[in-house]
Amino acid sequence: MNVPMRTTIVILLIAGLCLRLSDSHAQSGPYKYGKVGEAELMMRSYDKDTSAAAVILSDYGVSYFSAGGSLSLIFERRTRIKILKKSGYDWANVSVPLYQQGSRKETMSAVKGYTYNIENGKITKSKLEQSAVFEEQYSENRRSKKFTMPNVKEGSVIEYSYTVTSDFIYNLREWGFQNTIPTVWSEYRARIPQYFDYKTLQHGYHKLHEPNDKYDTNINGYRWVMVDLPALRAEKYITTLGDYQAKIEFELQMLRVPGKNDEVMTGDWKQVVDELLQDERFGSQLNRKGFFKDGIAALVSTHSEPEKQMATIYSHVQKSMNWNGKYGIYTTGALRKAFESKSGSAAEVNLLLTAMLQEAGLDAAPVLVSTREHGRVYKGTPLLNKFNYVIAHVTVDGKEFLLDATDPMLPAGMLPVRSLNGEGYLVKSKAARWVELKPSGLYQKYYNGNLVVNAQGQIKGEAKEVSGGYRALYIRKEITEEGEQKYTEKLNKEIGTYKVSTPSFKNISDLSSPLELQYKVESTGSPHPVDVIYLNPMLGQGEKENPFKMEQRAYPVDFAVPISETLICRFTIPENYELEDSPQNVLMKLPNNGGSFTYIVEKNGNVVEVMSRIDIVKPIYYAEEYPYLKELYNQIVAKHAEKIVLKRK
Amino acid sequence: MAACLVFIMQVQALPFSKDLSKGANAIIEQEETVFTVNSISNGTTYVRSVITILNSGGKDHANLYVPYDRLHKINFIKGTSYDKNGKKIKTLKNGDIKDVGNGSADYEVLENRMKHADLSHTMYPYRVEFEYQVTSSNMLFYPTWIPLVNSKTSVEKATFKVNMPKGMKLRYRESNLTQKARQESTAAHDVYSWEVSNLTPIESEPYGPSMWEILPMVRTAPTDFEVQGYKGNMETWESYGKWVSKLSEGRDELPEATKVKLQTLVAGIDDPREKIVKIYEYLQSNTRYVSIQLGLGGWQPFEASFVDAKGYGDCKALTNYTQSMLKAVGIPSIYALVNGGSNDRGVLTDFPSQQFNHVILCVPMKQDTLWLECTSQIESAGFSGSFTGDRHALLITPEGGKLVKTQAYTAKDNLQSRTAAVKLDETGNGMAQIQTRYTGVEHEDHRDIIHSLSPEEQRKWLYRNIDIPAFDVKSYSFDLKKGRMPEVNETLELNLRQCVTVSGKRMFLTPNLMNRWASVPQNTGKRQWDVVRSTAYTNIDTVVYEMPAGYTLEFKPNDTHYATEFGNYSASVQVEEQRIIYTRVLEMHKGRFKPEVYAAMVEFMNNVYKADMQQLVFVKNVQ
Repeated sequence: MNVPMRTTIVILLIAGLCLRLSDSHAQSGPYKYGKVGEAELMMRSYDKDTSAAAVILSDYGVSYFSAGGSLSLIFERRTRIKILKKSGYDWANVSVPLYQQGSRKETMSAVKGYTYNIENGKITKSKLEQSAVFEEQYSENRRSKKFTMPNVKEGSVIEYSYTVTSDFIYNLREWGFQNTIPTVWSEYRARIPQYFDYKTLQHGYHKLHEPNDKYDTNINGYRWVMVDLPALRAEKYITTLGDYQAKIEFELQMLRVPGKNDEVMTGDWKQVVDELLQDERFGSQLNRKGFFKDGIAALVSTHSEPEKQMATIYSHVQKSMNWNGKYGIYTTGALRKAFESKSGSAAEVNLLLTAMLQEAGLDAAPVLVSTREHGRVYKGTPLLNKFNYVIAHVTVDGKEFLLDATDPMLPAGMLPVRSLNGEGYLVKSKAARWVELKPSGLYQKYYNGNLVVNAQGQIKGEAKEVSGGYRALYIRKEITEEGEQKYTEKLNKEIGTYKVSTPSFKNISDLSSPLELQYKVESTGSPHPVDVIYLNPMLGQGEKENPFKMEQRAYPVDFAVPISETLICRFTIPENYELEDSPQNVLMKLPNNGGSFTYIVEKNGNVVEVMSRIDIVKPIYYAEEYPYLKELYNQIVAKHAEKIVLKRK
Repeated sequence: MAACLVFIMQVQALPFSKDLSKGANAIIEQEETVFTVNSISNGTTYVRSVITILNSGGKDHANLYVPYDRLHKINFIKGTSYDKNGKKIKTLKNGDIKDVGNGSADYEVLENRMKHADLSHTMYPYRVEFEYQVTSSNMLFYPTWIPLVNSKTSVEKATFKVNMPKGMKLRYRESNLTQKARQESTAAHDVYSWEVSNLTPIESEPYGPSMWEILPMVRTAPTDFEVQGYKGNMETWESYGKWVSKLSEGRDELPEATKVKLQTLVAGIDDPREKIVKIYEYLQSNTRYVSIQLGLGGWQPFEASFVDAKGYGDCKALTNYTQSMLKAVGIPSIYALVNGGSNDRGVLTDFPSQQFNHVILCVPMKQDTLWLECTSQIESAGFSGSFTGDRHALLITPEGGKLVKTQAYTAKDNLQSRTAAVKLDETGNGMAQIQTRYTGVEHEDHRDIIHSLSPEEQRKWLYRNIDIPAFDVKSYSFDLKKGRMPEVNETLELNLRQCVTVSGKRMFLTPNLMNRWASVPQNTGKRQWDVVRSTAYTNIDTVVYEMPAGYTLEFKPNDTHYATEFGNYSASVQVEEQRIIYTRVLEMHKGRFKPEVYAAMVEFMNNVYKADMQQLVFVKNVQ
């Protein structure tokens, strides 16, 4: 495996594995199974991470095939964990997920385990009893075996092993090297008969370790080792923690059964696309358009411009189809069935949309997507199980649109946040390619206030809040959930010195227009006229807290969508008062035009106008840009706390 | 301990009136629940319901979950859905009914599972009809009938019927019902029945009472019962306690070696309290909590010798084990049932029944009583805070059960007391040294993070929880002092960014550094339910600022005092040349108040909110 490594986000390795079976099981690494030494038991903390509640000393797994009776895939695991603190006790409760489908299943056997303690200088060993192994069934397909290690105390070392026998011989288990506690040694081996050809995908920020020993892959199988992995920790603004974990995955590429022609299990993109377009549960569904022919003809005839035709068909699918919340790239059955029941998975809803757009003569095709929760998609390797979602792509007069009809609140051309994840693959005969899943909208807020200040320092006036893009989407969703009346009623309240009354919305259901909220606002003043009036020009709308407080950041900050927030307030000041002092104007920019903050105060006659504008133009900021982002927000918070001072002449 | 089973009742129906659909996501048109007691050890619950689901918010009603375990057998589940025109959409087949776990976490092993049937559809409205029957041989529980258990749901008509064999007495408790029980007799049964109709959605209100208090419901309970050969009587707490006691009988034997070990451990100690602490610490360092709910419906503790050998157990097992260990060193203690968790569901003291979900240990002492939480590896011996404190517990002895109150803490006990010294510079930045002492219930958050978070995560926790707009944590430390009144002392050193706002030639200082009242509930005008405040605490803040030279005070807020029945507040600022001394004392009471006073409480909170935002203004001296 002498492939040059890059510690970037993804490292792709391709390996054809041709190995002989062997019985050798001796694992590498500093720890030998079944031999727990005094040093491990005396260890009080883990010096590479003194905060660790437990540390995985050794995690060893091996997969191989067994031809006894029918062919099955065997996975053996041996894990040794040092428990350092009480908060690490949960690591002594083990759960092994098992999958089953029809008569094919995974079964667990040969569970063994011991807890080692040191008592009065003597090493004691407590055995895991078979009676402490339980099974729990979660669903038809998913169950899990659970066991609880005995006599666990601070300082214990636990070690357990088990075997999983699987009928799913094409699914070579993935291996996660990294966990939410630190790991000293993690090793995975695979001994694979030469007629299986796997593609290997390695993820994360850590390098493979190459032990300096006489390991022979031809005898013992392939081996992947990582050492001294830090604990994996969640942060705000990330896609899914799994995207940042060091792990290795496999996909069967080729089956070379002796005496038969080689069978390609997954080919290059061209081949994958051609197959997908023929697939009974994907492309071939796009060819059956009879059941909606008339309906589409009627819709299309109302507009002559292709872009309007597209929008009409899109909103028709949005209104008539309900997304049942299911993901996946294949349909469960015929699209016609989904169409008739007016409900379907994301693949069904958006393939139907694609088929209807095609029927209208538009250049439309489906796009394979991996949602944010599903994790990042890796370009270059055509692995269909890396995708879990489908959207539609349309080209109209050279302009490209991405459409997703699963959300009834989305305007045409905007994608839901779940599908804003890197790139998707356009499944189009002879024109297949990656397309960027860029947000076409912003998280947009525009606030406009017109206010009159009196000599008691009281403010009275009207404000209008206009929301566009993703902000409008969120608010519309909340309004639908709670009901317009109740939602509006809740805005009617007094908090601190401000009182909001008569709120009302505009354009709640007109998705192509920005959402508008209008209300009256007033603040309490003094009972008597005052000489000096301190005015908060942000009317309580400003940023009050920096969302980025930590000194450092390990992962990129992933906002998913750009942000734009503008506030303009006009204050008419009372007669006989003058503008005594006001915040200084500023313009701050992030490096490389990554965003900006503008703040301007202007006086025209008896009107003081304040403008604040925040632009976060990129959806993703790399960890190196974090300090700038943090500082920008520090400045915004400080500026938004500043006041305007009016003084009696 | 297995949580009390609540049988969710279902119903049956007709075209509904307009009023019922207002504010509702679903309408229970008809629901019929029949509970037939076959013997003291066996009963059958039959439920039939017809529900119209009006929109996606009512989707839960299209999903039926029927729990079962070794003692509860599901006899059958049927279901059909219809579209708005009454056309049948789907009839449940056996394969549609899924067997699912009871949502247990990885570390839990539970016996109870559920059957799940999903009739949800995506075109509204539609109607679902469910019918099912469960036979129980765990007669510790009789059903609690709550016809309106979901929010945003209306009930057109729901009935509840209990068939008691002649000669067996039904015990029941009605709440929030307009009609009382009807009693009739058939040849074999005494029949009790209830009916409700035209119930509109009940909306909760901020600071309102628990739903358990305001929903219409009928609780039922046995007189004589039997579970797996254990016979009991529930008419009095005393008799119920005797039954629970029987379950632990003979399960307290410890190996001789352990007894000797424990006796050595406390040898030479005279003070019984000290002995208890020793034994409790031994428990904490040698066992851990694992939720394994097996055997007798999850009610019988594992033997003490099992816990001794394996080092784990659930609340019953660990409590029984601790009791055995204390016995071995000559200290008597009592196994006690409580309802652990948020304290919104008080025990109905005059309706003896199985109302508990947790077990703790009560150790009577000469002067007072110690309560031990045996599932915690971190708790102070004798502290029972927000999880088990201030509520009724049922003491279990061979002589019977007895209700007593657990430890309660007052506003004075639950204290957060802080002093801070802040030195500010010309730019508005500053350095703060902060000392805070947390006691009683107020120490719990810190107690938990000290034990469960790594230093890196603790630092993150501080960044999330310190209420200052922009700052850096320069250093921090926590010091937990265990004891009858445990406390945490927190020391923080913070670099403050823009602690005062410099705007032109002025400086604006909000003297309340980091303990501002954060939110005010809405005053809706009309209030239906009582106002319930469930926590009492005191916050004391003293902050001393040292201002940069060259500024003159322009404005200082007046001292503020509010004294109300909900709490008292006072804040004052003293300016002594460059030094500003801010003092704030907030004492919040717990209690129950009439609905009319709600507006006054909101006003009080808003006054505190406003007072906490008050600013001092300084002007730069002209050179």
